Amino acid sequence: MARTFSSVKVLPQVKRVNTKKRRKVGILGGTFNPIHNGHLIIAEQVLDRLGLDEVRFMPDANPPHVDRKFAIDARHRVTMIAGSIRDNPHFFIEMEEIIRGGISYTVDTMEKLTKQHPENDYYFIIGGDMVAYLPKWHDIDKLINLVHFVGVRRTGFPQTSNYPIIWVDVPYIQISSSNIRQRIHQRHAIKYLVPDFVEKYIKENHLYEN
Amino acid sequence: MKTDELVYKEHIVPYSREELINKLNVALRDKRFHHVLRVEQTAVDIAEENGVDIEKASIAGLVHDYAKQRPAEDFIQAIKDYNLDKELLDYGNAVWHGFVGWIFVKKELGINDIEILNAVKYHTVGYQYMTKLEQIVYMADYIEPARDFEGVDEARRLTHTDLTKAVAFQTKRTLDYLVKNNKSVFPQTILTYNSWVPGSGLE
Repeated sequence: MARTFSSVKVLPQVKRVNTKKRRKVGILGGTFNPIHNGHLIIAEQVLDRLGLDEVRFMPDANPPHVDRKFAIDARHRVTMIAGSIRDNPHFFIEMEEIIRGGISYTVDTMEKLTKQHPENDYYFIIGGDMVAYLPKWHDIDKLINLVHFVGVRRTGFPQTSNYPIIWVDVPYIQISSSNIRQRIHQRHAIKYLVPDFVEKYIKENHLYEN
Repeated sequence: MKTDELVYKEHIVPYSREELINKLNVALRDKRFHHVLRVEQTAVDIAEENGVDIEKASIAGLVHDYAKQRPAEDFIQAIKDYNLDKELLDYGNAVWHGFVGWIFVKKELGINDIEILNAVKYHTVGYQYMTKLEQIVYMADYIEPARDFEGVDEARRLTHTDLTKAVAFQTKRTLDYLVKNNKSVFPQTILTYNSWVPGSGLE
């Protein structure tokens, strides 16, 4: 039986317009009570290292069960974030959890964001000290399919996990929001620990004084 | 809901609606300012019909044209400063005022909400994926009460009955207009067209 060969066609080398380009979006969740330079350093370093298109700061709502002293009004927390990032065209605020109010599970938030913009790849940034707690996160097995976890490496904490983690080295600046609040309470300086805007805003609005 | 009854509560804008309107009154000439107010009301109406956050619709409607009356130098500078695609330099205000203009909304109005800034960015050229809010601003700008062009009634009818199809309608008309008038087509417009028009069920 004769075998027939069809002629080989050489396709023209056309450069295609890539319409499938996915956006890489970092998510930095937290209470931001208040936002400080440690948050901003992490966001910029992860953006740079992973070549992200943007990082969104995602403040949580005021959970009803939490002592009101703990987290000040979302209005102040959001305003301080906004004042700290307005000059950076890669930094945004994600208001999803504030607008929904109450307690939000990360998995629900990320599912909604993924549905809204399926072309985005989400990189959820967490501190290296948090990685060990991932198994306790609500619906973690579903969440792991919605986001890439980015672990900010921290010495003294294990860098192993049963979940895939992208580790990033960031200069470790030991600033925490609780430490900032404590300093204000004790009338100590917070200059250079928080952006100028935040320092001024806290002073003008008498936040965290008692 | 009438927009003048709105009181902002979601902390997206770090000041009141009245202050935001004052800032727009300063930034825009009278005619444009009133257009913006009409787009706001239209966006709020469509948001109500679609169960979308009314405060976001109001803000996005108000700020969508914030950069419309800025000189070309401002945009050229921003494209350079922020390392945006140099291809943008080949286009003009029609593309820039949204696609680049969101940067001024962020920096100068202090609005950092990603969805509102995207709604501003995409309000003229669209995008492959638009949230309901982004679709609403895209349509509100097209059908606000003072708009008068052939097909505007159909655009309004579709917007209030089938938002997705309305987006397809506008996208198709826009591309049609650009081609018929030998105008250049910003590549994003074609991507938007490919994502929304084929399979939309438009006649």
